[in-house]
Amino acid sequence: MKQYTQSELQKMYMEPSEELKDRIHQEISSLPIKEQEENIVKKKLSFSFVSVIAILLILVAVAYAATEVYHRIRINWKGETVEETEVPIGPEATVVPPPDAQMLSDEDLSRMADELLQNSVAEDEYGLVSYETTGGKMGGARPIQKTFDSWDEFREYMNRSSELTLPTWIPDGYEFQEAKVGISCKADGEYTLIEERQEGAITLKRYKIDDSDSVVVWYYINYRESGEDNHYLLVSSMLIDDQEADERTFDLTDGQSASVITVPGIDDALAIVRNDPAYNSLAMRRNLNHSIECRMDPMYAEAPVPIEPAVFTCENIDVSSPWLDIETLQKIFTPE
Amino acid sequence: MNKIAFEELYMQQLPGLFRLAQSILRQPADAEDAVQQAVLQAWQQIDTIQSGKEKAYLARIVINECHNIQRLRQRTVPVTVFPERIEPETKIMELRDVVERLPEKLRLPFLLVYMEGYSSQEAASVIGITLFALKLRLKRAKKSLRIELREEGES
Repeated sequence: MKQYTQSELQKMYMEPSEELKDRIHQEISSLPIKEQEENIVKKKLSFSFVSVIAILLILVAVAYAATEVYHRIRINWKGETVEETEVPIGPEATVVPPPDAQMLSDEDLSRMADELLQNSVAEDEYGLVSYETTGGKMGGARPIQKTFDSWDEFREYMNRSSELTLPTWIPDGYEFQEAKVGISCKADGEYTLIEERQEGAITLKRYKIDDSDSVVVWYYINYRESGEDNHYLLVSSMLIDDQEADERTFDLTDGQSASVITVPGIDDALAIVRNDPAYNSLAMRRNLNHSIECRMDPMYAEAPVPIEPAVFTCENIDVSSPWLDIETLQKIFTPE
Repeated sequence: MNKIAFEELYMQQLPGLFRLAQSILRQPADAEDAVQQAVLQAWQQIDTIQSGKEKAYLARIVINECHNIQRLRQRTVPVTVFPERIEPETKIMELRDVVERLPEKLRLPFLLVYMEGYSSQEAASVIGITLFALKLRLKRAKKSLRIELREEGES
């Protein structure tokens, strides 16, 4: 099926006419001048000669800095460029004025909601918060997770309840540190509400899933080379649907490169090399033998129309390390 | 922000704002009214907006103005009425037809993200929904479009 670009989508609609632009110009010209603008105009007239020169020098410096850009390309699984942009960098891009009082209030609520999810929801529970802001109803959720500090326990759990691919080989000297898994509910399973309460302006709900209804939808493993805190190896995998599988892209900037490679048992693999700082990664995609359906989270329980289950058909596997080269990373998922 | 900077900003965003207004109101004349009427409200509050968020803010104002116009005029706009344009590309028109059959709650997120290039977070703040809700709507919009375009292609 044809893929449409952003500019093609934009052609669906008309461009503003010159008459419209003129009318908007007239509209803006007739806008009431703001009090602050009047004061600024008055203050400018009283600037000293030295102040004017200082301002000019600053403007020149900003203009010079603003002309620096870095080149970014976006590629797909085949290594083909799907987008290419120049991203400007400069001091004005990082200046952020302080938020106003209402925004602080919304940010406070957001922060309180996050803290509630972290402190009041156990790791093996699904937590859901909702609250009203100036922008409307907002919410957040913390999915069910499990943490393992033993490779054997992690592997046993995964072999029992997951179809995600596990590493089969680890470089000498690298030791398992920790693994985390994210858990969702089978399409025919149930989230059981165990508590609902108000915490000020925030509504908190906690849910559980029976082990028999659990599906591991992602994992994350951290390895570290013995005695070397900065020599780490990260491995992760996540279930995805067809669309996410097709649409995944990778961003590269100056000094970074990618190449399509072959890894046995894997359908697509891309090796990405980054310098400054050095960092190598392997992105892989594997089609599942059969699809896995999961119920949508309670976050969507209040949708006005029934929400279909998520249907996962692939997994995205990522391996990365600042110290291991691509040839070594490729061996981590070599079939035993 | 002074008027010169405001005009520069507004004119820069105008093509995208006009497209959004057309996607809601359908008739270009109504869309022109929306983007023109949004100017005053945008000017009154522009100084309270965090730098870098002006685009999303203006989109929000225009969308609200479109809804105001819809409420005031209470007009049903036929989907198949397209404005006169020079040499429309058939495929793009077919796509527009399909896009406009989407309910607004799916159409707007789709157009904000894919036509106007807003990030998911920006689009969520423009519409006033959570990021989770936006991603869900995008998924549903794309699924609907795929099905409809495939059926159109087959027919």
